[in-house]
Amino acid sequence: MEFLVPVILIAVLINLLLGFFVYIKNRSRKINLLFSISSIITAIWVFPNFMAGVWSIPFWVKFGYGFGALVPLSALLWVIELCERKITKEEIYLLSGLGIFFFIVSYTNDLIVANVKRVYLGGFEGEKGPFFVSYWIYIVGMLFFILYVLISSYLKAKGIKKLQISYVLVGAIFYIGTVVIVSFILPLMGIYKFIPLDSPSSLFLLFFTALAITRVHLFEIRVILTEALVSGIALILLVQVLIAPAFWLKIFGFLLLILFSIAGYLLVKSILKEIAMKTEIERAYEVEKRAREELEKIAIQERKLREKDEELVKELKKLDEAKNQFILITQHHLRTPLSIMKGYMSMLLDGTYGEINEKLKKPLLNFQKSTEDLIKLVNEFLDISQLQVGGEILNLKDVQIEDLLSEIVEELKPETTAKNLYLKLEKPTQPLPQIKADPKKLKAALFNIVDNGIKYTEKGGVTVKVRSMNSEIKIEVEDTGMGMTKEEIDALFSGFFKRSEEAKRAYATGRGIGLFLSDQIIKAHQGKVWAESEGKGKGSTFYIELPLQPSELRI
Amino acid sequence: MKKKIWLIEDEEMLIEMYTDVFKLAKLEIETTRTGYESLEKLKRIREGKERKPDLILLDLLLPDINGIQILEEIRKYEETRNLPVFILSNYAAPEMKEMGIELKAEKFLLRIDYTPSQLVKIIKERLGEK
Repeated sequence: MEFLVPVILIAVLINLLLGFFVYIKNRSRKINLLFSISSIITAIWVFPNFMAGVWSIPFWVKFGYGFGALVPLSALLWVIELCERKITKEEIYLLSGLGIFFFIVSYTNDLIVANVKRVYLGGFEGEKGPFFVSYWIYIVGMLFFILYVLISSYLKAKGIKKLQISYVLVGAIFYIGTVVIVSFILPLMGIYKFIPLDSPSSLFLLFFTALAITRVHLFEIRVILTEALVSGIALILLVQVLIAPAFWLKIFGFLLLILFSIAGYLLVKSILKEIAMKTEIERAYEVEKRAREELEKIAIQERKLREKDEELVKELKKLDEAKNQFILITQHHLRTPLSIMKGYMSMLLDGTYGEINEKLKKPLLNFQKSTEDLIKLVNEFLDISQLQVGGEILNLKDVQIEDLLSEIVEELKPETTAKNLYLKLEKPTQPLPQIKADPKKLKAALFNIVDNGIKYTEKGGVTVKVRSMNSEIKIEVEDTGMGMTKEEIDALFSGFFKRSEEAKRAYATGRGIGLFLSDQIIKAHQGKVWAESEGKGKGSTFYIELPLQPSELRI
Repeated sequence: MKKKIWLIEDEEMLIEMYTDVFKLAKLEIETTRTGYESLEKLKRIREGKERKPDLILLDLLLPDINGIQILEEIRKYEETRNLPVFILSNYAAPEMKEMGIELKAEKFLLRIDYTPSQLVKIIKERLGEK
């Protein structure tokens, strides 16, 4: 029976340590304070059980009963706090009053137990006092009340709170279970020697509660079980050290305890580390998952945007087709009356409707000339709008640029001959690299520029030069004509549809809309055209640059 | 016998103008103004109720159907398959031109480019009358 004495002492010390540990863990929380007080009271209550085995005096009985009255009271207070139960001040005063009453009665008088004759480990010999029954009713009533609060709260609680209460309940089950075993079941089998363990086993309850309150790895049952196992074995080893019959055995046991403690510490630490790693991995996985989801969202958005884009392009194409159709129809409608005017005028002049007198001839010729001008204008306008609408994609072919220029020069020769001008084409002896271009459109564009030069030159002539440089074809159309002012140059290629002022200027220079068309076509080939002139009367030079391979061809 | 020109055209003033100039050129002229009218005439020609024209001048934009559809109909039947057809129109959609060439239209004349007498000259050249 002697070996139980140190066990009880250890239980006392652990109770005190638990109280201390929980308190310093968080001094500002009420629950921690209440629990610490409860642990200390419990330790004090268990203490006489130890003393009874060491120094048997009747005082320990009173002492035990007295503090025993405070144990359920102090426990109830933290249980209520833990379960977040409402309790009125009056109820607290009443319960505390009862507890303190029984404490005083037990501790100072012989009203509960009297005439104690002998005290021994786990019991005493004495008589029941007048308050004996009421004392036990109070104790049992308090215990049931605590259990009731715990169980009902457990059923209602959720999440971490439920888990906390379940820890307390597990502790309570261990406690009650131990008490039932050592105080009832074993004595029934004739074994009485473990009875002194009844009150120290309250340690179970306090231990689990401490876990619940401090919430140290509350969710990690593996850690808690390991800790419990390690502590349990350490405890047994400690007891063995204390009760070892020989000194060398004590030393040996002590060394074993230290080794085991170190091993146990390392074991718990490794498990904690593993859990931390697992948590870290889970968190990383979570982050990755979220990133992936985010990426997916972006991808979906992108796809939607692309779809929208495609829709828009389709819509634009449709619109483009409609506009194209509109222009063609307009073309038809504008040209039909002009055809009639042109037709009748020519017939009148041909004498289809009889000879016309000389006086009428001149006005009719003017009429015819104006009609022709109008037709040309309408054609040009329609060409431009067709280009501007973007209806026509360039029809790309390999083009030998000097051949194109030769054709233009050939076609314009009659004009220059008539005006007594020269028209020269200067090209390198080696063939130039071919370019990708729409031959028809490009020819029209260049034709306009050369034609323009001839139109405004009265003396001298026009020189067309062509060469290749880097990945570009450079063309110069140089005339010895009237030249241009800076303002005129600026107005040359500008979109004179946009601003009336510029339109006026464009017409003022008399350059017409042919150059605008040329500019549009050359731009569509990703080329450049610009003009330079030393000033009025000093001739002009038009520069054209065309890439060999336009990267993107659209008008 | 006078050579017969079939003019498919809906614009009244053009019809008048071409009639004047063709008469002067001693060409017989017959006119239809709609696709429907033209197809009816084509049917009569097929059935031998009417003399075949020596040349057809075809406009592309008509009130009911387009000229290409008439040309298809002309090319479909043995009796009319080999009739010479000039497209004469101010409607210059490139795909129409392509289709016209595919259906063996001999010329694609942009109306505005030709005076009536120039047109007569081209027709007479084709018909072998100079």
